[in-house]
Amino acid sequence: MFGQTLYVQWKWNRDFLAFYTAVGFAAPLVILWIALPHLGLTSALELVSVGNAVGMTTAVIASVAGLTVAWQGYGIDDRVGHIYALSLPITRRRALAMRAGAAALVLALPALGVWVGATLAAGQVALPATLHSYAGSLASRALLAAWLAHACMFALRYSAGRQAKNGPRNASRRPRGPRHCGGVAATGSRCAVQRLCLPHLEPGTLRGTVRPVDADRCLTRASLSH
Amino acid sequence: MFDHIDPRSPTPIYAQIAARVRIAVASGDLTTGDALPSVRALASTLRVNPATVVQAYRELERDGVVDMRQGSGTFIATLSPEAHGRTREQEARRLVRALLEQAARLAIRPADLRNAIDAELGALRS
Amino acid sequence: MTHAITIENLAYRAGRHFAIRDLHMRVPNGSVYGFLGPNGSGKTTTIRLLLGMLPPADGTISVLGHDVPHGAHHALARIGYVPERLHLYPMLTVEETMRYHASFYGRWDASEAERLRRAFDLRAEQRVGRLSKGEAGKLMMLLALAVRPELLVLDEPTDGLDPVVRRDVLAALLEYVSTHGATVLMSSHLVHEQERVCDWIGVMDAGRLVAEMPMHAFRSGIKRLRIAGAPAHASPTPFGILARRAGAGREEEWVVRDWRDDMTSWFANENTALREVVDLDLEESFVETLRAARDAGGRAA
Repeated sequence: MFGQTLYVQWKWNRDFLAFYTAVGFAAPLVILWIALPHLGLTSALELVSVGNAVGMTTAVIASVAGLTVAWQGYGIDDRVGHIYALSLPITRRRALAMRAGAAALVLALPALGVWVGATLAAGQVALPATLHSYAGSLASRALLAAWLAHACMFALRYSAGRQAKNGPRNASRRPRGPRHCGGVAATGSRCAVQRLCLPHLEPGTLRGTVRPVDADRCLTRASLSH
Repeated sequence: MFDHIDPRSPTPIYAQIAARVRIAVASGDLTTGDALPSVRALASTLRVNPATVVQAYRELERDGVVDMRQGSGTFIATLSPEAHGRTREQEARRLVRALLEQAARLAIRPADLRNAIDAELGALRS
Repeated sequence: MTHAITIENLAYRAGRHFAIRDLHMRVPNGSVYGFLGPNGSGKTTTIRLLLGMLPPADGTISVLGHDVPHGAHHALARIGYVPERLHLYPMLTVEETMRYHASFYGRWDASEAERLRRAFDLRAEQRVGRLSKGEAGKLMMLLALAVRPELLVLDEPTDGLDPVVRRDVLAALLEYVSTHGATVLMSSHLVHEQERVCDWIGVMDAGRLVAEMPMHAFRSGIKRLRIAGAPAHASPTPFGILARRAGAGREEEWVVRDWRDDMTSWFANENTALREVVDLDLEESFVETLRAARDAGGRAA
């Protein structure tokens, strides 16, 4: 089960991952290439400032990778109306745990890119012995940044309960909605209503129209048109 | 033999299947020992509920037309020539009964019906 | 457990109005249960509710002995589901989809899945997103059958498929049902297909089940009668009258239910001539039942 989930996660994201890995690999080298003519890299200050630039850049790249993987994974499920994921015989918790776990594994790739790139960059410069592990620390920072960004986006997107997309309230009209909708289009280009169970949110804090439906804490949010 | 089963007909599907087997036996198309299609195959081919096929075969077994052998399938039972003849006669009477019911519904009198039958038979011969 | 699915008092709200209310349904074990109803009557919603994909507002649902939605994942392991639209991931190939699907089900039969793939003429390396409608329908049925389910839940499985594909899909379904005695809940617009295949029928209209009975009872009991000389007000009849309409000339047309052939004698006693008893096929029976239910609802309101 997890193996297959991992494979699917990889297949969904391999293009993005390839891109981010390449960028993560190139970033330390590019920054060094830019900095080297201007700085002597002899003073600690210069080393640190270059190091900071690389660190910031690679962390940002990794974060974007994390956000993309989370967005992408949810988006694909969303496209088919979550029906497939909901019809499989596993608990919601387990399904999400597997997804998150698979994402965490595939996000190691951009971090690996950073590690290789930083190691190469460090090799070009005479670094003091204490900083030889710098590439490793950059890579782990990038990995953590990716995981954190992924976790935030993942939690946001998957905060809905175990529910499929509903049909429209106006039952007599049932046009075939746009393909990415999964459910049925209610009016115009808006996708079908999606239920969220967010016990602590007040109506009006979500984008789109919010209607309190049940007394038991469920709100409805019209999902944004794609 | 089993094509054109009509689900819209008032005759239930199982009765249609059974009738076709009976007619095939009566006309000699099927003889003792011949195998009928398996329930699974026939249900799949005709795209009907397998329970319907089972019902048809059970009715035929009850009337002694077939033997259902567990594991091997369904086979035409041993019918004596007299039994063959009886089956033919039964089928003919079944047909006539249906015709009479239909005529009654359309308010056609038996005398008119008989004339019509003679006329049609005459047309067939020539 | 005599029923594969038991639904009592089900209510579901989408927005301000109830999409489903007071729904009672019982699908007997081993039956092929046809779920008929006009567009928007709530068939897909009911199916999603009984698979645990939507939370009910009220009522109880029991599927294969498990309470839904709490125990849904237990039940789903023994259910083969074909939704009304392609629900699979478009960028996976047929083979990858089969492998992914198989990993979730303990009862997956790999050799049977492969046999069906060949029989359905599906290329293993074809991307799901590029499958034609017919191929997609076949793949979904393949996945549903290969998990060796006890219950098949099919939401318009042959809708929009060409006749050849429809035959293939139905044949595979019926072959499975014959061999394994599975229960089938099938919703479809193709009334004539339901007629051949289903032995139970549930008619849904506006979120309620208006009729639920064995197929032969539904079909054989509903007839259209050609009547001459009918009185303006009818005396009590042994059959139920769904509708009375003007016919050709001075004739009337009665649509009745619970008809038996011996009831022709009733007309002999009255001063009314019964000219003809017309059998209605499933589609006509269904339409008349719906009309009568709606008229009754209208009159009561």
